[in-house]
Amino acid sequence: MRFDRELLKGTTETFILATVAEMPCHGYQLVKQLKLKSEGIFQLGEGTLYPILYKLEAKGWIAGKWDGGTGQRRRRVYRITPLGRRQLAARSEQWSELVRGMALLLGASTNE
Amino acid sequence: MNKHPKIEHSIATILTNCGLPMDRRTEVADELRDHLSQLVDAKCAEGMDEDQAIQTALAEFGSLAAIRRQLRKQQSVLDRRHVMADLRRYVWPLVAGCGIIALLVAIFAPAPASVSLRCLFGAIISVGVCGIMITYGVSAELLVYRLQRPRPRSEFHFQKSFCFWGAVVFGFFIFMASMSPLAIIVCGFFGQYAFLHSSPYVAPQLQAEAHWFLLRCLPTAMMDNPLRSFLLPLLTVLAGATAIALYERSRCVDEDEVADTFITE
Repeated sequence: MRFDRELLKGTTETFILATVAEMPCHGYQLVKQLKLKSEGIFQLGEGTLYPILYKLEAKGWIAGKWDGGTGQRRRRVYRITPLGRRQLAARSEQWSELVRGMALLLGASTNE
Repeated sequence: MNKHPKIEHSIATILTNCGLPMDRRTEVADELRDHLSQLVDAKCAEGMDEDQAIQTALAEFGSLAAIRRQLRKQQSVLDRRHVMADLRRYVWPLVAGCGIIALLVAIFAPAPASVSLRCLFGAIISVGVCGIMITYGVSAELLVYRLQRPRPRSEFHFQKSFCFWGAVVFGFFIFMASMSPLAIIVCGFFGQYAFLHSSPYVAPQLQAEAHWFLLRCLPTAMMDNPLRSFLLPLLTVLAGATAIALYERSRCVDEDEVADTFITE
């Protein structure tokens, strides 16, 4: 399903925080996880993930660290920070309220 | 890790003019390369041949220009934050310094000024000094920050750099000029003038200089001496901007070094 661009604004950060909170992962893994967890509803443009990751890192919500030494592929693995967890909790709460409100509104309009 | 020319070319396209500092570019290049390689491996595992896999992987990766745009935007936010964070460190010492100046002026400025008038002079002068220091601080911070981050030579545009530094040097001149009567109200001209003429602690020579500068510099010198008021600042701006732009160019990294980092044919 294709979503309205306006509707998705500001949600990507929450997707990423929620995915990284579950387990530390690198970029490629993150995209796959996101797709898997959302049952294919959300699919990121893979390259556009990185500017968002760097933004979250700059905010201190996630922390990236290079893993893998000689002979292995070096990969930058992202983990959620305590600050990121707090942010995720706050956003989850807001989302729950938003979804509840929207469900009530849309439910009311379809019942009419 | 295998470096495929098409992948390397795409990474180079993303990172050209993306605004990231050189050390950061290498890291980002490694990360993007790893992602694309995994995508290609996955496509190959699905049964595609290498060329087709790369083509599909690049298509799924998204618009290279859009990624570059986002990286650039992100970096510019970080740059601004970095400069502002550095400047914030100067604020309290500045405020403290200005407070001390105000106090000293209030205590030591001699008669005929009354105590309340001296306090007022002190406050005005300290605000002026604070403004001056902040302006110098911002200019110096920008200068150091920009020169500390070398860019690839191919991304250096002399005209752009010259215009940027020309504007900075010109801004400096305007700022210097603002210490004259043009910015009487803003800079607390009355306070400075009264202080300079009432205090015996200020050397007579300095008083004379300040007097000339404050009263005559802009309004009269422009008529009296066009060379000093127009040509000299203009030449200084041109020379200053050229020198800094050339210096910035000398800080850029050679093409070969960039090619080694991003493109391996």
